[in-house]
Amino acid sequence: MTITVSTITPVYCGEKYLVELLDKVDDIRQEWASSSSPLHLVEAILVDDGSIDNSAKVLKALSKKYPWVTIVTMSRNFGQHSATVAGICHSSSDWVVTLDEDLQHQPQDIDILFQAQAEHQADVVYAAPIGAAHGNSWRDRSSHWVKKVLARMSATPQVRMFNSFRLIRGPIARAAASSSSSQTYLDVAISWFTNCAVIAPVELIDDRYIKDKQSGYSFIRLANHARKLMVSSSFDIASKVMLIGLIAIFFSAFLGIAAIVMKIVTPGSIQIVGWVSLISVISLLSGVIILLLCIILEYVGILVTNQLGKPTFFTIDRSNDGLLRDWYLMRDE
Amino acid sequence: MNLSVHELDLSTDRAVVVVGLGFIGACIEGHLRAYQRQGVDVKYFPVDWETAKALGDKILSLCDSNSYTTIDIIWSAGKGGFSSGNAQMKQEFDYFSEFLLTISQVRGTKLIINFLSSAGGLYEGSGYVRSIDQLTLCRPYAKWKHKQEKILQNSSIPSRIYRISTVYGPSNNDNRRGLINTLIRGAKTGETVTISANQNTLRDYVFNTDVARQILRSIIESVPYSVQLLASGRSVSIDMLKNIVARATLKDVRLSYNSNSENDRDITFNRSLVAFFAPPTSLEEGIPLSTKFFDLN
Repeated sequence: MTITVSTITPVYCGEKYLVELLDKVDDIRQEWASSSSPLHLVEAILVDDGSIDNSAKVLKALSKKYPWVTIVTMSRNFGQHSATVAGICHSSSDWVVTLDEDLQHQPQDIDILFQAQAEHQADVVYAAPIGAAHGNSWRDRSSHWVKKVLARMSATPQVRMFNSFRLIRGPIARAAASSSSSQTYLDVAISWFTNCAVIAPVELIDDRYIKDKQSGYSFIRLANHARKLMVSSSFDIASKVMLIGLIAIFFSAFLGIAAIVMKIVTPGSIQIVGWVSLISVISLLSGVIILLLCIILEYVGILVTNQLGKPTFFTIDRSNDGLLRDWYLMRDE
Repeated sequence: MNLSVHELDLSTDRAVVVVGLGFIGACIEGHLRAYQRQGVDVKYFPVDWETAKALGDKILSLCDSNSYTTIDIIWSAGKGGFSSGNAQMKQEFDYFSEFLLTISQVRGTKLIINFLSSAGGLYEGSGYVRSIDQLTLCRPYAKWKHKQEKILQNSSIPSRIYRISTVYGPSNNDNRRGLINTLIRGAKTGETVTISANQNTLRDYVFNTDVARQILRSIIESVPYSVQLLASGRSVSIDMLKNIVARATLKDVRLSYNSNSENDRDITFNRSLVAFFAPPTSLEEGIPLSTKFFDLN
């Protein structure tokens, strides 16, 4: 019984790294084949995302050298997530591994991801960097805080795990990728299909950023990335704010009743005529407006969620997981 | 069943006969018109499934009454499907055998058979197909199709065999619509489509125009006699198809699933096995084209 694996790599300016990357992917492919592993790396899909250097030429040469390399060429630069989505939509394996072009993610660490999967029977395994991947920069810190805040605000605690070096069960990857729209954050889409995600500590060092200060991401791009993450994650703000509206309505009712009672029982106690009524009416109208806006927001939220591609249900077959677990147990013995 | 005879506008006297103008045959026949000799009409003849000798004699009479140096016969005939039993498929096999026997008597004209076989049937349940010989032959349909291939290869008539994956595309044929056209129709009419498979089952879908062009190019360029796998090299799940169709039609596709473990097995082809000269049409392009055709007809 074979468990097939595909790797997906979006390529933008990777001409310096691609040869070494594919050589290392070939190493792990050979290692699995020679160790009688049930894992079989059947394809490496490289997505040319409108590359700005000689990556296209390098990719063509690599596809001739390695018959299991497939090149998908985008019509223009769409961005890393879109390129990853395109790559996943061209995959056909039991498991999909996404990794970056610049060797920040070492192909030999794919085995670590699989070990974590075997141990926890997870559907998704995210690499968790040991230390700061970008050299303790503002980028690492801001990424950490954005994810922390979003994990709290949204119903998706998986947000904190998100990383572009990931192992995803094939059907879930393809379902998430194919249902995503251009504004959907891929990992949020994955979380719609499974909450069975774990992390695997892996050494991740972005040499390209640390040494050359080069990155495919400018500040604006990163901000746009965070915006997409926020938009895709569902926040339960409407129902919380609706509570404020209800409180305002009850407060106005309470004020109104209190004013009437005071007028009857102690008529002289109200000094400023009309003040209580005014506050009561303002409170009532504000509460009603907030309530109506929240109801509208709920409907808009449902429409946006549907547009983003959230499914009603999804079925999966995990019956082959035992095979991988048994193999790793046997290997460790 | 019908057959059409096309006289090609090429340097030598050549004709192409399409036997069976069903979903794929009709598409091939449509593309052949681009190569039709000026002033010569396409001839159509009805043939039945009772007497293969009559069909064979028809071909022989074409050879005798015209000065064709070569006649390429595109065999896209077949009544059977995946659920066909042994009896029906044997009848089809016997018909084909008798036809081959009849036309083997030809003199003077070179006959070449371009046989349309089924990759979906022959490789069903293979999972990831690494080699063109990795056949499974699970069903009677597949076994008898393979027998037809074998008898053809063992005959004296040169042949090209095209193992075609699941075909989709614009079609007026309501009888054998295929999954994708059924999904498009379901989206447009609001009907719920019942799928006898798992939503994650992977299949390779190939556009009918790509198939037609490949076969015609193989004929016109006299490609060596061989077995060609005509698949896109990119498998998709039913769930993915549903999403692509929904985007193309701007409507929801309502699906219900009738679990059938026989249909749950993936079929994925290694891209290096695919024989297309030109990159196949992507689903993102082919499905909107099919949708447009549906809207116009």
